[in-house]
Amino acid sequence: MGRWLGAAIATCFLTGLWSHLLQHPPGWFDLPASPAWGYQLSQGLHVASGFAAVPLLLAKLWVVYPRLFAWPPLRSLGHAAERASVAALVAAVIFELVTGVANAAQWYPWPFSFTAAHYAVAWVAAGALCLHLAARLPLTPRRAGGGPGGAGDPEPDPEPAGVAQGRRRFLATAFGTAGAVTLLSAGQTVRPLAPLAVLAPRRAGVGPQRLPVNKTAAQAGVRAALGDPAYRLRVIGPRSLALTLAELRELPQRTVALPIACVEGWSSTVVWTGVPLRELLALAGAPTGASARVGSLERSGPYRTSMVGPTQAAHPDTLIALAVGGAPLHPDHGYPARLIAPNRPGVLQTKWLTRIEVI
Amino acid sequence: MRAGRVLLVLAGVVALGFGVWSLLAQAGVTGSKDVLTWLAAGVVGHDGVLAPVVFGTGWLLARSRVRRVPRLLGPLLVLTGVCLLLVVPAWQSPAGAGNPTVHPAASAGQLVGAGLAAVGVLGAAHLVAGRLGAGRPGAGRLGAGRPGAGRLSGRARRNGARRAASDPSP
Repeated sequence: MGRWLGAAIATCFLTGLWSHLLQHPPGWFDLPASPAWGYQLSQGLHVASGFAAVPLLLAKLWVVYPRLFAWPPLRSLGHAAERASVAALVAAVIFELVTGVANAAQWYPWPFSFTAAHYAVAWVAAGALCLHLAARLPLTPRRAGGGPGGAGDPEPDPEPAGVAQGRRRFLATAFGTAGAVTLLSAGQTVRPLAPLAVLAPRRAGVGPQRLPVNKTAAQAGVRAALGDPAYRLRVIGPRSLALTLAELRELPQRTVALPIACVEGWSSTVVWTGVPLRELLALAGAPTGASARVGSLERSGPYRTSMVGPTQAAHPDTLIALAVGGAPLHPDHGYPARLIAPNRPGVLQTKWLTRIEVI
Repeated sequence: MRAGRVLLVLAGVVALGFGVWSLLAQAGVTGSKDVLTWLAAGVVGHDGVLAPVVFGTGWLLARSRVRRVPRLLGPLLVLTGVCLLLVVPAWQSPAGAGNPTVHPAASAGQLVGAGLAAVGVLGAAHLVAGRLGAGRPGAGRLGAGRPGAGRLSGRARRNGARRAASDPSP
């Protein structure tokens, strides 16, 4: 049980670190553009393993719950340190799963920043787990040879068959529940499972143009600006441009199937058509290896701008998309133009573009 | 063993320290206090509310005079309870207001349906576990069947050649 829970938590931790790195890249980190489905896979794993960890954690906590009332509560300094590490571990893992599940539903009943707290407490959980394992390491069973647990030890007393059956039933319940929870939520990424996804707030293929939406145009406060005939996409560089939507459509277009994958766990692969970003940067006189900062019509919000590093900016599949599925973008998908790039978190696929700045 | 322990302690202290530093740096002292409150609330919510409810329900089921029903009722209650925990945020979230692509969270009826469907999954898992256990020498002598007593490693008991030890994992 502990090993499976540990594997789920480790998967959550590593994929979470990767997601955080992609969303908040330090200056030295250039987001890779391949594989195109990289973030779809890593974030899908992050959310699925987090959901599956909930029943496993509860089962583990219920197994050890009676130890909470062990007497005396503290036997030595080492024992106190071990119990403190367990308390930190339990608190941090519960916190991570509760806030993660709430974030998947975009529910934030707390006063602090989800991103900052979820990231920091993940490190606390990892550290507490290491300390807990260190405290328990000498108790790991030896599997061969002499010493306690070795082959020379006498056979242990047999236990009643009913007790073994109860133990198997408990494990089957825990793992069966974890499997069922995964099955009932994976449809937000795996389209054939969409009809079963009663635990997922979004489902692959459901939405305008068969694509879910995290934030609508109305929720972003850009609806009124979308029909403005004075709209221009400004490309700021050595030779700055201001292009109308018609002029954008006259430029050479590229069509490519790319997934859009959101931090909440849902993803969907659709066919996008638009102008390769690198072509626009070249028209603006950007040097080789340039980065770009794209900006939205949104007036507020942490993701109204995003950086496109050199690798993704130069990739031919990174588009300023004007259409999806062969039709002009729906307002909720970023009309008149949006960024779509391979292997990029959904929150950084900026919608309702109005500005591209060569960096 | 000693080197591994030292490495784990070092890694643990570094990770813990980085986590606390990161929290203070990004959330500030006030935000960190809020996070601490939620950390404590999670433990209190589990140890003080959820676990007593689960253990109380288990105690009642174990003493039920109906012998057949509790075998299915226990797993069904666990699954339904976990699903409820997972959909409460979706029920509470305002994200669906004005966004037709936010799927309505599972209703109580859907949860019951999902629970009934899952009984099949649980039954199959139970069957597989039973068959695996039956095909293994020494089956029928594994661990204990009540929470808190099932901490023995099955593999460690093969043919009585190995003695089970306490599960060291969290």
